[in-house]
Amino acid sequence: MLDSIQRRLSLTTSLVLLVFLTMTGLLLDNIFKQSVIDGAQQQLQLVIYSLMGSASEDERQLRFSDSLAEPRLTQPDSGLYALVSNSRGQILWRSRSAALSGVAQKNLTAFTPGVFIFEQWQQDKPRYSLSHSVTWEGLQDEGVTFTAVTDQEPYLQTIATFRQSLSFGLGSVAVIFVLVQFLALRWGLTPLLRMQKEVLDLQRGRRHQLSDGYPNELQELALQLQHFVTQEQNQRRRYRQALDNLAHSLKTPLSVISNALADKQPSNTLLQDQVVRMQDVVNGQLNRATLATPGALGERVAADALIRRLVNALKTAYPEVAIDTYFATAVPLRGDASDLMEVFGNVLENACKFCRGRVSVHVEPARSHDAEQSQVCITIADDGPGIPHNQRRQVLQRGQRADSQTPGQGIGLSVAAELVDLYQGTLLIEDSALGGASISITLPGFDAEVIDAKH
Amino acid sequence: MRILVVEDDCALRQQLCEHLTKTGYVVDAAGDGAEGEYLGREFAFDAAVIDLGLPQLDGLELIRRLRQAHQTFPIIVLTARGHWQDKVHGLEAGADDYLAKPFEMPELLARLNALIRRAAGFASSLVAVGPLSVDTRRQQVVLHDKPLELTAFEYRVLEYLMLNTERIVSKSELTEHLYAQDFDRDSNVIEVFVGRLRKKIEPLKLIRTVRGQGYLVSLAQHSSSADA
Repeated sequence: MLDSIQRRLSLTTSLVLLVFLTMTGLLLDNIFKQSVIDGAQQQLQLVIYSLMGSASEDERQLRFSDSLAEPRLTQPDSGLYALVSNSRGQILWRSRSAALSGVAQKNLTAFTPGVFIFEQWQQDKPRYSLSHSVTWEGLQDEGVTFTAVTDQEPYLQTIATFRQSLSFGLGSVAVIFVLVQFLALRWGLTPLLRMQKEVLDLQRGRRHQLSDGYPNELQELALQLQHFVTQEQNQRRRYRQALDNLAHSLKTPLSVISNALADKQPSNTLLQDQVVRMQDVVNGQLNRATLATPGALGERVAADALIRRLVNALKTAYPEVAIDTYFATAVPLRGDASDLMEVFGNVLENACKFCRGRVSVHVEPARSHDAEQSQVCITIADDGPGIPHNQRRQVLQRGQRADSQTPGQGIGLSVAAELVDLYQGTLLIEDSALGGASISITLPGFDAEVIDAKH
Repeated sequence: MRILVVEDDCALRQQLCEHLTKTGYVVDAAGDGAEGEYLGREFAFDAAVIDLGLPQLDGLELIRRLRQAHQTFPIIVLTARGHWQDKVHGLEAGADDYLAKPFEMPELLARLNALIRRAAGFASSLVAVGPLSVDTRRQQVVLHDKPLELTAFEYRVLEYLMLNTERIVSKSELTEHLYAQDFDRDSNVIEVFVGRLRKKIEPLKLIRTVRGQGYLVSLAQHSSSADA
C-alpha cells in the first residue's frame, strides 16, 4: 500500500482533509445551534416584556388586556405560550394558546426575582422556556413569575436544514478536493512515470538515451542517469572492441605459429596441441565475448533480407551448392543484425560445407507456447551425412567439435546455439527430408504492441 | 600460376610466400593496400590472397577497386575478425572465398587451387583433355591411365596450358604467370620447356604453336592433326 508515492501522498492528504472537514463541520454546527437557541431565548424574552407591558393591576390582582402584542399567544397550537404564576406556583394567567394546548406550569424551583431562567422543557413535546420573576408592588402576592414557552420543533428544523446543507457543502468540497488532488498528483508525478518508462526502454534497448524536458527537480537526476547510461554503453562498446582487437591481434601470430609448427620435421605434437587449444580459445571464447549484446535486443531485423544476403554471399564461396530459400512470413526478427548474421552464417556455412550439393532454408511463422508473442522459425536443412544422435548434445556445447578433422564445425554451431539462447530462442537438431541435418532456429519476432501491452 | 599476396603482418606474409612458392606458384607480395592495388592493376594474376585489415587501403576497398578495374582473378579473403558481417562484406565487395584466421596452410592451398580451377571453368580438381589428365590438387599427370613424370616447372607449364584449354596463350603470358617479376622476358626458356613437354606426351599432339601468337591446347586441333 505504501510502496507508491502517489498512494502515500493521497493517504496523507485524505486523512488531513477528513480531520479538517470533520472539525469544521462540528464547529460550524455548534455555533449555528447556539445562535438558533440564543434567537429563541431572545424571542421569548420579547414575549415576556410585551406581556409585562400589557399587564395592569386591578384590586391587587393582575389583569391582561386581550389585545396582546404577540398574536400567536391567542392561537391554539401556535407553538408560543405564556404563563403567569405567583410565588407559590399558582397560575394567575394563561395565554389562550397555552390553555388550548394544555401547557401547564412547570414546577418552579426557587423564586429569584430579576433573573431570566432559560430551560429545555419536556412536556409531551420538547420546548424551550424562559422564566422571569419580578416583585410587583401593590399586589396581594407581590412575587410574580412570567414564563414564555416555545416549541423546539421549528428551531430544531432550522438546525437540521443547516446541518444538511453544511454536510452537502463540505462533502462537495471533499469530493472536489480529492479530485483536484488526484489530478495534481498525476500531473506532478507524470515526469517520474515518464522517466520510469524511458529507463525501462533503455534497459530493453528500445531507446539509447533519455528525452529532454524534465522538470527542474528531476533534471539533474535525468542528466546523471543519462550520463551513467552513456558511460555504461561506451564501456560495453569499449570492452567489446578491446576483446575484438585482442582476438584480432592474436589470430595472425597464431596462424604463423601453427603453420610454422606444421612445417617442422619431426613434428612437435605438444606445441601443436597447445596451439590448437589457443586457437579454440580465441575462436570460441573471445569471439563469443565480443558477440554477446544482451543490452540491445530491440532492433528490428528483416529475416528475409538478412538471409538473402548471406545466401548470395555463400553462393559465391560455394558455387557448387544449390541453396533454395522459402519465405513464408514477413515478421521481422528482434535483435542485433550482426548477432543474427552470426547465427545464420554459422549454420548455413556448416550446411554448405557438409552437404552433397543441396541446402534449403525455410522461414516460417511460429507461435510461442503462451501464444502471445509471434516468433519466426528458420529451418536450414542439407543433404549431407547429418549429425548422429549421440553427438547432437555435444555439438551444441561450448567449443565442442564433432569432428576434429573439420575445424569450425562444432564451434560454429555452438556459437549459434549460445546466441540463440541469449535471444531466448531455441535451436533444434533434427534429420532433414533431404537426408542430412536439419537445424531449426526459433527466434522472437518483432511486434512492439504485444510487448507494450504485456507491461 | 601467379598469386598476389596482400598481408600487412610481416611474418605471415613471408610464410604465405614461402608456402605458395614451394607449392609451385609465383608470388608477388604487398604489405599494404596501396601497393596491393598497384600490383593487382599492373600484373596479370591467377589469384589473390588479401587480408581485410590493411594499412593505407583496407582490404574491402582494395577488392572493390580491383574489380572496378576489371581484374577478374579469384580473390580469397583472410579475415582476422571472423565475424559474418566481415565475411559477407568481403564476398559482396567481390571476393570469391574467405578464410578466417587462424587458418591452416593446407586449407588455404586447397581453397586457392579450387578457386583457380573454378575460374578456369573446371568443376573438379581433375582437368582432362583427351587421354591426358592433370590432377591439380595432387599435382599429378596421367597419360593413357599411366602416371607421367614431369619436373616441377614442366608441370606448371602444362597445368597453365590445360587450365586455358581452347585459348591461345602467348609466350609472354606464360612467362608472366610462371616467373617472378625480374625474369628475363626475352629468354627462350619457355620454348625449351614446351618442347620437352611435347616430347613427353608424344604421340599426343596436344600443344600446338600458333605462329606469332603463342600456344594452344585443343582437342579439336588434336583430331585435325590426326586427320592430317
